[in-house]
Amino acid sequence: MVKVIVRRLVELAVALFLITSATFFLLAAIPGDALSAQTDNLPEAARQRVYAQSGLNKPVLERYATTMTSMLHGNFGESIADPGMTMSKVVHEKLPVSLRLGLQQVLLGIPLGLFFGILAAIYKNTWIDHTVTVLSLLLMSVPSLVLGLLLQSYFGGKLGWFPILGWPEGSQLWFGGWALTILPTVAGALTHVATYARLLKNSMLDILGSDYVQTARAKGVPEYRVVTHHIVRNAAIPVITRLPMTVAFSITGSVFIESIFVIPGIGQYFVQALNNRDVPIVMGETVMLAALYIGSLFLTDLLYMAVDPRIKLYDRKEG
Amino acid sequence: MAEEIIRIRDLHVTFTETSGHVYAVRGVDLTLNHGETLAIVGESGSGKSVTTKALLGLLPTNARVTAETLSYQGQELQQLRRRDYDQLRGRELALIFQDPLSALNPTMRIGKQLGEVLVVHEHLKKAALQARVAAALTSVGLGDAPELARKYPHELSGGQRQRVVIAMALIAHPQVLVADEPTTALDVTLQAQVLALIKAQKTQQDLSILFITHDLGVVANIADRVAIMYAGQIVECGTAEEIFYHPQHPYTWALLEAVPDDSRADETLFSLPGTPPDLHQEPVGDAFAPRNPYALGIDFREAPPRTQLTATHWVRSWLLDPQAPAYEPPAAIQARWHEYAKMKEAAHD
Ligand SMILES: Nc1ncnc2c1ncn2[C@@H]1O[C@H](COP(=O)(O)OP(=O)(O)OP(=O)(O)O)[C@@H](O)[C@H]1O
Ligand SMILES: [Mg+2]
Repeated sequence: MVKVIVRRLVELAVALFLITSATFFLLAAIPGDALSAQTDNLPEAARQRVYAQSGLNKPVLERYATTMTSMLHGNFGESIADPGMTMSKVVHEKLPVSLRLGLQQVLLGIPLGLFFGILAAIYKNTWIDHTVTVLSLLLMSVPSLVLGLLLQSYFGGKLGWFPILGWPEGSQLWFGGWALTILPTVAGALTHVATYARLLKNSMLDILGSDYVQTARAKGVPEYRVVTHHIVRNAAIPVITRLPMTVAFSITGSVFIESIFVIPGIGQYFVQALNNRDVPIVMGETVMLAALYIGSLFLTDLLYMAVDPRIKLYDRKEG
Repeated sequence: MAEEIIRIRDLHVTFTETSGHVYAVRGVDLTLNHGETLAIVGESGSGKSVTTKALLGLLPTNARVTAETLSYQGQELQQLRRRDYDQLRGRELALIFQDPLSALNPTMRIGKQLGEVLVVHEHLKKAALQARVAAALTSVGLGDAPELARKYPHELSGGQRQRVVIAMALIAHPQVLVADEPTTALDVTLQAQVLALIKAQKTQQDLSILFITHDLGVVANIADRVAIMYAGQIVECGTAEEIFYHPQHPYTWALLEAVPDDSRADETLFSLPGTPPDLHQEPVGDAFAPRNPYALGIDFREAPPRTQLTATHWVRSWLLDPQAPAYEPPAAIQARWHEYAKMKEAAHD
């Protein structure tokens, strides 16, 4: 077990190194940098002073070395385009916004999806099943950007039930200001509803029709026990093991939703930093997002091993 | 006359699908007497599994089951409440499913799956439960029971799984064992071992067995009586001796001719040309007629009645009608009849 964790950590380090290096050189390869917008109209001397101050006048490889070494020390540096902004501020001010948005989407979407999935499985081939199937296919094929815009213009604009833009701040950062959060939450949650309804329906049907459920009945096991001991546990495997990825996606993947609802989360800030070629922030966020994904992959592995005895990702000889 | 433990009369099972109806079982009559082994033999799709599932009340909701009688020890099973059925299943009537791997829950330990039978029927706990599980595993020839009980199905070999499934069926000492092709998934050596095991358990536990197979070679080894099934009906039923040495139905002849000479179990099943009828429509006349070289004109219009030959032997075939023209069974079958006549004579002397 310890070896597994160590191996994952090594993988994480290698992946982070490759990802950050690639990001750095890609950014460097694009014409323009974080200062070009502010300095284009300055006289040459002043321009060079500004560049010297930020270190952007140094050769690429030297900048790369400096950036990587300071990142190794956990120091991502200060934003160039947005003075005063650091990764620690991003983590304290922006991450909670995305975390709350992502968690709300997951907490609303997954239970609803599971509910509809069970309904569709139990009432297979009835209008309930057909409705769930068609709706989930539809929702899965429409991007959350479009869903967000539709919700925004209808419930926010036409009906005027909810505010269109913004996100709770200050003391309401974590709790409260619900009206502002409803539309973006629903926009992201709908995809989860669709995904999980399909996922659970299919795995329930597989298991309801399986021989071992019949065996359990043939043993005289009462139906409620068949459900609790045989069906639920096996049907839950694909759902449980998918959770970490869904959560990670929800937190990091709301870029479009954050943009159209003007929500100051990490996704929106990442896009802004990219547009500004703001190397310290882009690098910092890249590390943060990659760590989230790799962490959730690791969690997925652990969950698989915990819930499915058939899966031995790391057998004893090896791990 | 032996005590009847299971009685099935005029059993019909019809499935409703989006594409229409499937007439899977069409008037099956079966009797299982106390202490005997009755084999049901028939091609794939002939309705063997559906018949056993109807008996155990395990058919899905799209199945419509009707029967004049479907009873266990005189107790009518139709309209039995789910709770009462649960009391019978596993404790009185036990079932071994066709495929031992898929019949076991992949995420539950072997010991727990066996023990579950005793938990629900006898409310056993902990030490007593473990002891019974270990005893059951040992009785089917599985050593190191405590170790095995902690394993998951995928950690066992095919032969071990088949033994586990048998142990699970017998752990609560049922009266009737329904074994649905328990040897089909196994190689020849394992088949023989499993058959020997079932026979041994039968004498030990005073079981009555309904043994399903499509392999007559296996039947010779285990059955007291044999029912031949075709397209949802029993076409011939008799003692093993009557079926093997005095067969009357052309379908039974075809099955016997397909058994290899040394009556060793073999990969090849039936070499009978043609395919069974599509049961999406109810066959007109004798369902076997299109594949039957002995078919008469009437076979295509009207289903043959049941002709009783001896107290134990009956056949559904127009060939036995007094008005049927003379016919000659295949040479191999005539040889068997000869054998039968000699055996009867010897018995008389
Ligand atoms: N749930 C179901 N819905 C619809 N048709 C079914 C269902 N179960 C079985 N059938 C049909 O009933 C017929 C008999 O099936 P059954 O499983 O009893 O065959 P079998 O004799 O056991 O064959 P095998 O040797 O392959 O196990 C087949 O035509 C099958 O397609
Ligand atoms: Mg079958």
